[in-house]
Amino acid sequence: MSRMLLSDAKQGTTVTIGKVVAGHALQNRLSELGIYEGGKARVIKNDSGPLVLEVLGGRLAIGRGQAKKIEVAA
Amino acid sequence: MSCHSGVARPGDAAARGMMRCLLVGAPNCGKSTLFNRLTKGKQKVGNWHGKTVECKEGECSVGGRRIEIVDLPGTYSMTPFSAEERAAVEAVQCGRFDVVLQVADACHLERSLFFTLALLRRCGRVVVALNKADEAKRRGIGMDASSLERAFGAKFVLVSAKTGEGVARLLAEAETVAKAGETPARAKLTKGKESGAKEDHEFVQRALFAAVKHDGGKRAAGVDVDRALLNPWLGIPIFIAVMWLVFQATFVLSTQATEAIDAVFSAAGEFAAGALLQSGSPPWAGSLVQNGIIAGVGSVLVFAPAIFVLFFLLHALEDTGYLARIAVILDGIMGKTGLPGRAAIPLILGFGCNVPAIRATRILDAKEDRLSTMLAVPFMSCSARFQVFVVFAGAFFAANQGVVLLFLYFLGAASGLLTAFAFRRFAMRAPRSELAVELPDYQVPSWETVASQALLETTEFAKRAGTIILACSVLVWFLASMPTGVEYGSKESYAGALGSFISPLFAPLGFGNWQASISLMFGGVAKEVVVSAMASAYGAGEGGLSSVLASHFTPLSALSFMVFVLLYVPCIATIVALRRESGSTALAVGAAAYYVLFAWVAAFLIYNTGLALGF
Repeated sequence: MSRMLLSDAKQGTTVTIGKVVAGHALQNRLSELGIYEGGKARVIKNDSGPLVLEVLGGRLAIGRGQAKKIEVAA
Repeated sequence: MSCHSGVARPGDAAARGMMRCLLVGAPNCGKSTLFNRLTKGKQKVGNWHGKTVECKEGECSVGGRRIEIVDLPGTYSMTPFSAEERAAVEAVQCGRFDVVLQVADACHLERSLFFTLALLRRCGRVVVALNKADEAKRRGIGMDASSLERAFGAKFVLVSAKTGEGVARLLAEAETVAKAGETPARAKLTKGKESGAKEDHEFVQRALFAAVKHDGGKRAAGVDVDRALLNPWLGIPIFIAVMWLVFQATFVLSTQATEAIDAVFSAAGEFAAGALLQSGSPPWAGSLVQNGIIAGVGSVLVFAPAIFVLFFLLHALEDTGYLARIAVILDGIMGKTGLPGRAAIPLILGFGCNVPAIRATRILDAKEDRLSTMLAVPFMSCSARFQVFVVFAGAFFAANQGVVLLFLYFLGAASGLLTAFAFRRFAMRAPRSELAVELPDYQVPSWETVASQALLETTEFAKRAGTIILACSVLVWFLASMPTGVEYGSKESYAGALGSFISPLFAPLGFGNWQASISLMFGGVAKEVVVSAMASAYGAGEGGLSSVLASHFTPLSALSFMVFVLLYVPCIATIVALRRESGSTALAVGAAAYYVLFAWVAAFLIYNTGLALGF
């Protein structure tokens, strides 16, 4: 288990979401989209620009800035 | 947002003994398709939030009882992020309805159920439509609705909006719930209101575990498609190809219909004018009917084919799931301007025609993004301006036509992006909104829904924008043909007098004569008119205009004139569309003034720099 930020997670890996270091509104929003502490996410795309994740069986695009606020464990 | 505006007017559905049903759900869950299925395509547009947030309303009946259905803007959650989402959330909170129908995507149930939970905390009268049940079955997802009902204490109905399966049962359940009022489930769930996201997700997962069985059916398509479409090297060429197709289809497919409409209206105008003249009416009456009213109605309807084709394609692209991906593909490029990736679509469409392009800003979610994009669109050089450039560039820059045209297109695009950037930054003071969107599964669009949505957009445009455009057309007719007896658009008409009066304003730009001024004034109605108005003002046929121009313009003043034509108000229809889409008359009028000023300054700089350099 190594800890890092979601923005640094390798493409193709599955990570466990840790803390979301953000305001209440953004936390809520991300949680409703499926990014919450303890949840799992597969990193589909993480090269440049927004990240594409697979969570809850569907796909999600989130900005790089947001990904930097999300701690994950691989 | 108050509950008194928009769909929740006093003295409405309830007073008429109708049942009101709100349709909520995430974007891409098939809400529009279900709405279309329920209302059988008969719908109208209503407004939330003054004029900026729209939602569709329609009716259907079950067992003789009529039900009013309101299709609220798509929202993922009860934590609103955009004006649209806020409108949807507030509609649920203000409680003026009989039942809420949540449309859930059966293929992505977990996310939908998280929303169900949030919804049930605020309102007990909820029926959940597990949409795309047929697709879920195909993917090997088996669902036990009654198990979900036990867990959530709300009704769940398996439906397929595409085929209509289960829709009748859904309506019957909705009626039962509406009659019963609040369910006891609400109290149970409200107790957990303080629980965190983790607990909620665990609750949903437990419910899912009991109710849903995967038997390892086919995986969703799109796994490999995304690899190509979102690839940094392939994504942009593919996007350009798709945009090229949309552009071609919109402006080429609709050309024939547009020309036919044009021909019909000019024939009708001539016929009506002739008939009036024969019946002994004064000549001005014939001219009013021909040049004012019939031409005015025609100038509204010529936009209709392009708007229909464009919206058909945009809705189809949205349905396939590609539109959501464009945000990802272009995020980096558009990021510099502060606009989201999707804003590239209306901006590119602007090169065809600004009016449908301004309407296309609807594909953007946040109001700041919509406003700054729609303000930038009129700088995109549309095909009507191209006609002016061809005449002037041909007459003065025959050897370098291509370079001049390219310069003009580039100048327009740069001015637009600069405007959008400045407006976002200084007027809205909005930080760049970061993207967090669902990328829906790829699917074949529901053509029926796509067509009915495009038709609704088109008729609504004709109805609402039409009256103002018509009024302006009549006003211009009046200025050009009064006082009685003057030749249409001549120096003696009011328009000519006005042209002479304002022409000193254009002297510093190098074209301070009444002929140029009057053609610019007419160009405010439609840019196509600039050339013909100028030809008639100079007393030359359109073919002989080039030689006449040579004696009135220098190459430098011609360039200055083209820059002015490029940047000043594109046409009345554009300003009307701006007002319509922004919901603000002040903004539209302010924008028009800004465009004229911007054009003046740009032409002034170019003309005087040129003079200083000795051209």
